[in-house]
Amino acid sequence: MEAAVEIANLSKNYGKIRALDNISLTIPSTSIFGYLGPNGAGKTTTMKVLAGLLHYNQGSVRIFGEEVKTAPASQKRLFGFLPDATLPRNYKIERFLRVSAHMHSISDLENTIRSVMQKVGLFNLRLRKIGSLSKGQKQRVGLANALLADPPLLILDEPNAGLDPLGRVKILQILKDLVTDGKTILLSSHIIGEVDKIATDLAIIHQGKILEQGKRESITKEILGQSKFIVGGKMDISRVKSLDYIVSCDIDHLNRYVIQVTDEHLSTDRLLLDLIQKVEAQIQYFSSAEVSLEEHFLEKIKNLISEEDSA
Amino acid sequence: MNTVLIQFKNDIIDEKLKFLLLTVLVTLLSFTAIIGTFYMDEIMSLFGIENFPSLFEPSAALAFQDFFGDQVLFGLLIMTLGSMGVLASEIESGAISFSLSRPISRKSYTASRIIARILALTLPFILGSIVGWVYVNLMFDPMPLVTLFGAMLPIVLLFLYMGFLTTFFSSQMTGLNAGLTTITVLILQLTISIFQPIEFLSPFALSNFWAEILIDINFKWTFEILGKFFGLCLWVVLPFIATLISMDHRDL
Repeated sequence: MEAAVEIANLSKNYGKIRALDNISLTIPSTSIFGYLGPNGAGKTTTMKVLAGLLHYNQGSVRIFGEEVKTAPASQKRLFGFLPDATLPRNYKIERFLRVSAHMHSISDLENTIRSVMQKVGLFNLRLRKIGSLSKGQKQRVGLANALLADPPLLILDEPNAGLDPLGRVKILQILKDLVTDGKTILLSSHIIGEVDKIATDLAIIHQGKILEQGKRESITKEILGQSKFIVGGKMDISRVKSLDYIVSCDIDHLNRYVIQVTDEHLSTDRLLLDLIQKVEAQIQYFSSAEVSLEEHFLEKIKNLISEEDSA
Repeated sequence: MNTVLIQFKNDIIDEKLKFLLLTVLVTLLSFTAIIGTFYMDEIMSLFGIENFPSLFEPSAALAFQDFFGDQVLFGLLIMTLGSMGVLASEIESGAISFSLSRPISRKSYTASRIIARILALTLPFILGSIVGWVYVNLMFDPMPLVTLFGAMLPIVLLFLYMGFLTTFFSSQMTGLNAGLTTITVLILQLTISIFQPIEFLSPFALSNFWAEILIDINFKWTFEILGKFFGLCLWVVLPFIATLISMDHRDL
């Protein structure tokens, strides 16, 4: 199947600052691609390059096989873009979408606008000025704008940023519905837990470099191949770490031991037994916990920062 | 063209009150000039000046000369203030990301946005002038419509020059744009004035043939006037093209 987006060796500088450093990404068709990274990592820059808003210094960026740099303006019909930007405040929702629809040369204007507004749950607010809407409603206007021409690819820059939990749930639900329509969605976020819920593919970017990318299962396999245990009591951390299946052992803010282990051929009983016999731990309580994608992501970033600090 | 019309419609809808107010203001300016010219002797006698030595007999041309004289200053100010935010505010708020993600090239979008705004700002002057022309024909001997449009042409070009120049500077950087534009135009004028031999090349000097069109009933489009007209067109086109090129190459 043809990739929706292919980025090869892309670099982008803002003056002397290197925002994207030789990144390569492939976004498969009909996938939900979670693009994760802390603020300032390069997510928005990548998306703006895809939308043709930024000129890049080096590399190749293709959307459905067509190079962005040389593609005609009509290529923009292939994607809808929700930028992390302010919508024009003075427009009523309906008029904003009408202008957009005119630019897309949409023939069945009335029905298209109505259907898109219904899809994002804005039909009843259609005569409201954008300036009077809540942040979540504005994001839905942006999403409606991106959906107008029914493009096969959606590029969504932090669609959940600044939203309350209810707003987030609504946006996620809309995205889930869109996936069933066979769309490809590139979704950036620094709220990893939410991307984790819907993404089929993932990439992690930090300081303009891709740290990890691939199918969500293959990335989480590494995580799922680990177990985490919370232990209360007293023990020698260095002796815990000397056990060959231990990934990490730290003390959390509640003064509990957080032990991460590779769970291949490992049973909870064996760990408990080893802690008592080999480490001579005084255990008050013992429980298992899940390792989330968020923790994995934070761990990756933390390791990178500590490597940079030591260098 | 379609995009220009869409943008123009939006500008008019967005700023309908300002648009109406501007049209009324220009109309009032024309009425004031016409009435002032028609009742010049009476006005002067109110101030105790009897037998005011008038160089010219009050006429439609004289009334419009007075009106256009005011309109040039007022219009240049309005063009500067009105075209300042046309691209700058969109770039600053990021709203341009929404516009440029539509299937339209940057050049087409920039051109349509600027032309639509300048048209929306120029239209009140044209409408106000036409209303004034109707009124002037009631009070004086009829003035041919072609004379009115002929005299308006260089003034409208001067407005376009100012609008395009303001848009160029304001799209390059945000904040203090009007000031920067005004200073640039002043420096330009000063530079041209210092070099007396090229003073006639300034857009203001090139546009002054509107007065000739109004007053000279034997006015003809001589090579000199055509030269002035094309020179003025060049001044208009330069900042417009500069804006298109710079917008096409910048990161947004």
